[in-house]
Amino acid sequence: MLIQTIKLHEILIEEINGVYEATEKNHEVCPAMLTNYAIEQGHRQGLIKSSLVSDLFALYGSYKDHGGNMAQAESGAIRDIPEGMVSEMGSLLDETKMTAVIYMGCIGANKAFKYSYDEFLERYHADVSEKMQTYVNLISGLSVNDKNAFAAEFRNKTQDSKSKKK
Amino acid sequence: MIDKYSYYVLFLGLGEEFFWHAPLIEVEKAVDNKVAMDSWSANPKTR
Repeated sequence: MLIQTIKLHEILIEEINGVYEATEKNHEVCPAMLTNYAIEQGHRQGLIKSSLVSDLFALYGSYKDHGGNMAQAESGAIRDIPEGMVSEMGSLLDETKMTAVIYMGCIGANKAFKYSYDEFLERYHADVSEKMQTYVNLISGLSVNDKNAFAAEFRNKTQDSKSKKK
Repeated sequence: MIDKYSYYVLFLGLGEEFFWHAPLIEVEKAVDNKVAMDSWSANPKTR
């Protein structure tokens, strides 16, 4: 299932024994998945401007070039991003867009997500590789690549009856 | 999005709630199934 777990927390600067230290507070976890509502909200709020599908194709291309397991990718989940791909995707995608898509994922899984984009930015502190993994998993759900046995069987039956007619 | 909405909801008859709030992969699978079933049932041999 392509529901991702997003960890949020605030970082507060506090004076402890005369020294300023960053402390993590208010940890929380929220689910994230892309829905049509989330994508529409993303466009309306100006978070994304381009199509995510083009990113998905670039992602699959890059994953294949780096010897990624395409069977895994086609089932909608890329588990381990190859090292070289991280740097290549880093030049194709900017961190801001990945963060925006992850925020959209939170809206998708929580219709009434309580944080605005700015509030979310204050609480989401994942590193780039974690962001990329989450982003990749989220947009993998944009296309149906795994074997849809139900539809495939109908297609086979339709093909069979067409060929019998000839 | 309006084109996708028109095709999926108005033309193919997908439920609004499902279209907007189901995971995208589920929506795409449902559409895939619907198109396959429609093609099958529109085939003169299956009537």
